[in-house]
Formats: sequence, C-alpha cells, structure tokens
Amino acid sequence: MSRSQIFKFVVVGVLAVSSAAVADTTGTVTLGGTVTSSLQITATDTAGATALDLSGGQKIAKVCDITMSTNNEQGLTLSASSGSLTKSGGTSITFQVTSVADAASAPAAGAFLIASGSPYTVGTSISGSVNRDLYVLYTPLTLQDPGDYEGSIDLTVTDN
Amino acid sequence: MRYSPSSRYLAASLVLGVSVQGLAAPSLTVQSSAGASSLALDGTGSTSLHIVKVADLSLSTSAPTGLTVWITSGSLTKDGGTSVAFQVALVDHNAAPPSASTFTTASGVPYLFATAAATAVAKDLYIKYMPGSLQDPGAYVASIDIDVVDN
Repeated sequence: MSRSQIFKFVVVGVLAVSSAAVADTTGTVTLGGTVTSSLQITATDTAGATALDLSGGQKIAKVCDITMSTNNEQGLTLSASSGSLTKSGGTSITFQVTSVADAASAPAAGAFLIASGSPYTVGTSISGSVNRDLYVLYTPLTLQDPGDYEGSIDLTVTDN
Repeated sequence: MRYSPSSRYLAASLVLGVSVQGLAAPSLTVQSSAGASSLALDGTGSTSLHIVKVADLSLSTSAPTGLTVWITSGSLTKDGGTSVAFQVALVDHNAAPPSASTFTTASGVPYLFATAAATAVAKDLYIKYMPGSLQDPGAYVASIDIDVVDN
C-alpha cells in the first residue's frame, strides 16, 4: 500500500468513527391543559327597587348591587337593558340605567348617556372581581294613572 | 488471491464501516403519560403547586462512557394568556414523585442526567408548575424535547 493510499484509509476511518460517535436519539412529550371560565355575576336588588317613588318629577334611584368576576385576562363586559315601567291602562314611564363604583355617590342625571331601550354597557380590561351599583333615571308624569307599575332590567355579563 | 492496492483500500473501508455501526448507539423510548395532555391548570380563583408525571423514559447505551440525556423545560402557553412556567426532573421508574425541592433546574434551562458507564435505565419524567389563581380560560400547550447522546 502506497503512502497516499494509507492516508486515504485513515481519513475514511476517522470520518466513519466521528459520524457514529455523535449519533443521538430524540423524543418529545406534548403537554396540555385547559382552564375553564370562571365568569359570573351576582345581582342583589335593593329594597327600593320594588318601591320606586312614582310621584311626578325626575327621580334617580339605586336598584341593584352587582358583583362580577372573571378569570379572563381581557376582562368582562356587563350589559344592562332598559325600558319602561308599565301598567295596563296607564302611561308607561321610561327609564335609563347607568352604574357607579360600589358605594360611590349617586350619579347625576347627566351620567345617564344611554337612551331608554338601548343596552347600557360597562366593562373591565383585566381579570378579577368588580362591584358596581346600578341606578335608574325615570320621570313619572305629574298625573300618572294610579296602580302598580312594573319593569325589569336584564343583566348579562360576557368575557371580553 | 492477490489484491491490487485500490481493492485493499476499498475492503478495509467497508469492514471499518460495519464495525463502527456496532459501537455504542444510545437508545431512547418515550411513553407519554395520559395526564400529560390534561394537566390541571386551576386559574378560576385559586391555585396550588402541581407535580405531575408526564412520561416514562427508557434509556440505554453500550458506550463504556455512558450517556447524557438533555430535557428541555419552558412554559405552557396560550394566546392572550399568561404563560405557566414548568420545571422538569427525573426519578427512578415507579419511585415516589419528587418533592418540590428536587426541581433544581430553572425553567428554560436544560435538565441533564448522565451515566458514567454502559447502562439501561428506566426513569419517570415529572414536571412542576403553579398556574395563576386567575388564569385566562382556554387551552394551554407546551412540549418537552428529549435528546440522548453517548458521552
């Protein structure tokens, strides 16, 4: 065997050994899990909600304490309907709704920005709990047909 | 029989190639645990520390210098949600789950396990994680890459 042939033999041998020495084996474990939504709302009617002052003139009354919570990191949105207090044979009394932070002062009339019949919404932008006080604004007539008037507010909370 | 120089060179190369393939080639078998894809992630108002078995590993090598296994760690992630970091640790197969203090390799840093001689060993792979008490709802995913090499 010539010197050049011996050199080739050595080179080929070294390459083959190096290739085998770095051989490895790999594997993968896939992990997963699901977090459920904790979205919830609790609404407690105030005593005055069912005994509204229907004498003539503009009124603002607190009707509900609301507690909401979510684990959604983009927060939640509360939607509250509005409409009218009605009585068969009587003129309906429209009402608007708004909310303030828990235990804050009652809102001024100018804070009721959403027209009666349209949903009022308020939201958060982070996860956690939030308490709000819900108020209504309404204006009975000076001469309002006597009897019982009723209305309802639907509250819906959704994750953002 | 008389070989020319070129024939002898070819024969030697082939014999050497067969011989090298028979040297220590590490082997890894991974069997994921059923719970690996359904991890408890809390996140609805409370949380706790979790230590969960996620795979059975079988490792072997005939290399006299043993083997080293590299295991990645990281985070369970979800778009729009805070990631949940996890650490990894190995225990002997069917041994008791590791304690929290056993997880000494930080999340994101490869966990290493090595032997110093030819071996065939079975290990259980555990992860440790603690979700947030309010964790964004939805599905979280992650993967652990395992790489075994001869020393």
